[in-house]
Order: sequence, then structure tokens, then C-alpha cells
Amino acid sequence: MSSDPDDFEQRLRQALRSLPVPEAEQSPSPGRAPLEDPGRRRFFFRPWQWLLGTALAGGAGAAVLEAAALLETPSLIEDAFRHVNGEEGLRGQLMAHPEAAAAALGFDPTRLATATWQLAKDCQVATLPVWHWSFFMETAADGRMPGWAWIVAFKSPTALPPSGQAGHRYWRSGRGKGDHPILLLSHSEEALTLLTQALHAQGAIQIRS
Amino acid sequence: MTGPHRAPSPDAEGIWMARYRPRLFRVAWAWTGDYHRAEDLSQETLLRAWPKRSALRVAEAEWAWLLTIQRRLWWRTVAETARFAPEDLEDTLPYPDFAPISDLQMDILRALNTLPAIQREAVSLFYLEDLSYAQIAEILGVPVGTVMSRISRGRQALRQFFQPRPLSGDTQKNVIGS
Repeated sequence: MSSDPDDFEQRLRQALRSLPVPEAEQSPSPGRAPLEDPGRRRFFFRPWQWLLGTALAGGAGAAVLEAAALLETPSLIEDAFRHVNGEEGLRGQLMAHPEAAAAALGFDPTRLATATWQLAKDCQVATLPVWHWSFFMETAADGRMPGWAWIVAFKSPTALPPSGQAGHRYWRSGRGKGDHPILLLSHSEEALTLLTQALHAQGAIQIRS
Repeated sequence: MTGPHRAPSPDAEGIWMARYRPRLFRVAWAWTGDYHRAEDLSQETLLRAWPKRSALRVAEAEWAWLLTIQRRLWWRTVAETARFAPEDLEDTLPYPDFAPISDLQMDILRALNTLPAIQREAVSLFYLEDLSYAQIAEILGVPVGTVMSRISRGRQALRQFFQPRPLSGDTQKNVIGS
């Protein structure tokens, strides 16, 4: 970059102000009960919102993450979902006594509408950037997948959305060992393919779409 | 569950969010250095702000108010994620392959990420938003002199970052080695 002070600052401004902005992405409809807070689906579709939304909305698809056990993924994921289905019984409490449950978790009751979202954030299940998943990436895909990926296995029968795409979110629904519903998600189609191939090769999960 | 709302039209909400989302996102990207976290941060800011927007007495202050919310959320996530942060953060900054940024932009984001967070937020607001020192001071909740000092130091560090290298040099090695 130029050493001229004015030019330096000008180029700095221009570069920052022209950073690309992601387009709004419409969430896929899981074909079930709508999320509690539809506003959260307005843009930047988040897979965990859908997952937690379906879990918190009840129904057959209580989302219990099994990928941690199957794939030695970081324990933080297990911890996160323990909040949903663990001793706290958050899911049940949220459904039956939402305000009390929110208060018990330290949520401001006025933020109740954000409970699903906040649950994900507080449990560190927000966007899984590369460092959270570097262990898995290196193990399963030889480090060829920059970005993020989710592998979610459900213990219970769960209606998954059809394999698809929303903006830069790609997902593939299928069945894994024990006939568990499996949902793979990633930031690109290529990464998703690599992920699927790696899982096949490892035999950790058998995906059949 | 969410209680009665004032029921603004969906269009109004969409227009409002579309108005601020790009700017909030860019600020968030500069602050976090992470595309995905920037998405989260800017979205969360808008979603929290929207229901409370009508309580804002001075419409002109809306942008500063949003930045204040976003900053508070950012610092909260910094604290929450500290225990998961890798030791060599610079080496693992995620730049999604679908985000078409130039070498210069990538260098700048990396350079910003080498700054202490308190300098990074001030510098970002200064160059991205052209806010005055006083406005930045209000958003950050610090005296104007502190803002000036942080921006000055941040600017100097950025200059040093780019000083020894050509425009599109081996950025990553230099960052890691610094």
C-alpha cells in the first residue's frame, strides 16, 4: 500500500467500505411447525435455528446431537445440546413455562422471543467457524475444506428438509448408522461433497440420500 | 409468547433492516475479522433493535444507537468465546471462498485483526463510517481524547503493517510473524 498518508487513508476507507455484504437468505421451510420467531429467518439462514426451532417446537423431532459421540467432535457441541435435552429439561420448560425457563437460564424475560437464538449462542453453537471444526476438517477431509460444516445425527425420527441450498448454505439429508436421520450442512456444495465422501470413506456414518 | 407487538408492516421492517444491514455487517466484519461472526452480530443487532426502535426519541441517533448495541453484543461474544479461541488466531481467520474480497481488503482485515480490540473498533468506525471523534466517543463510552489516542495508535500500527511489504505480498506470513 502506498506510503503517502492521504492515499493510505483513502484506500483504507475505500477498501473497507466496499467489503461485500452477504445477501439475505431465505430459510427453508422444514414443513413442520414454524419457528417461534419468524423474524429470525429473515436473513442469514442459520441451520441451528432451524434445528433448535424444531426441537423447541416439540413434535417428533427432538434434536439430540449424536454426532459428538460418533465422530469425536468437540465436547462443546455435546454441552450445548445437553442444555436442550439434559437434566435441566430446558425444552420442556421452555414449552410449558417459557418465562420461568428463560429466567432460570439467565435470560431477560423481555428477550424471550430470542430464546431459541440465545440458547444457541450461549451454548456456543452459533456459526462454527473453521477453528471450531479444524479438528474434524483435518481428520475427515484432509484439511481441504475451509469454512464450516455441521454433521447432525438425530436419535429420534425427525422430518428433515429435502437436500437443498439457501444462499451459501448447503445441506444434505439422509440416513446414517442405526437409521438415524442425518443432516450435513456446509458453506459450499464442494465442501458438502467432500464431507460426504470423507464420511463414506471413514465409515463413521453411512449417508444415503 | 412474544407478547403483542405494535405490528409494523413486514415491509417496514424489511426496509429498515435492509437500510442498516450492510453497514452493520461491514463494521462487524472489521471488528470481528470473521465473515460468519459478522453475519451473526449484525443480524442479532437488528433483531434486538427492531422491537425497541420506536422508543428512540431522536431518529437521527438511530445509527449510533445501533452501533452501540452491536458493540455491546460483540464484547459479550468476545467474553463468551474467549475460552474457545485458538492461540494462533491470525492463522485461522476464516475468509469464506464465496466472499469476493480483494487482496487489499484481506490484508486490511488481517491488519485490523492484529490491533487490540479497543483500537480496532475505534479505527473501524473512523474509516468505515466517517464518524467524528465525539460520535465515536459516545458509542464507545470513553472520552474524546481516548478515542483520538486509540485511532492514532491504530493508524500507526496499520501503517507499520503495510510499510515493509508490497500491496499483495505474503501477508499471512508477515502477520503471523509479527
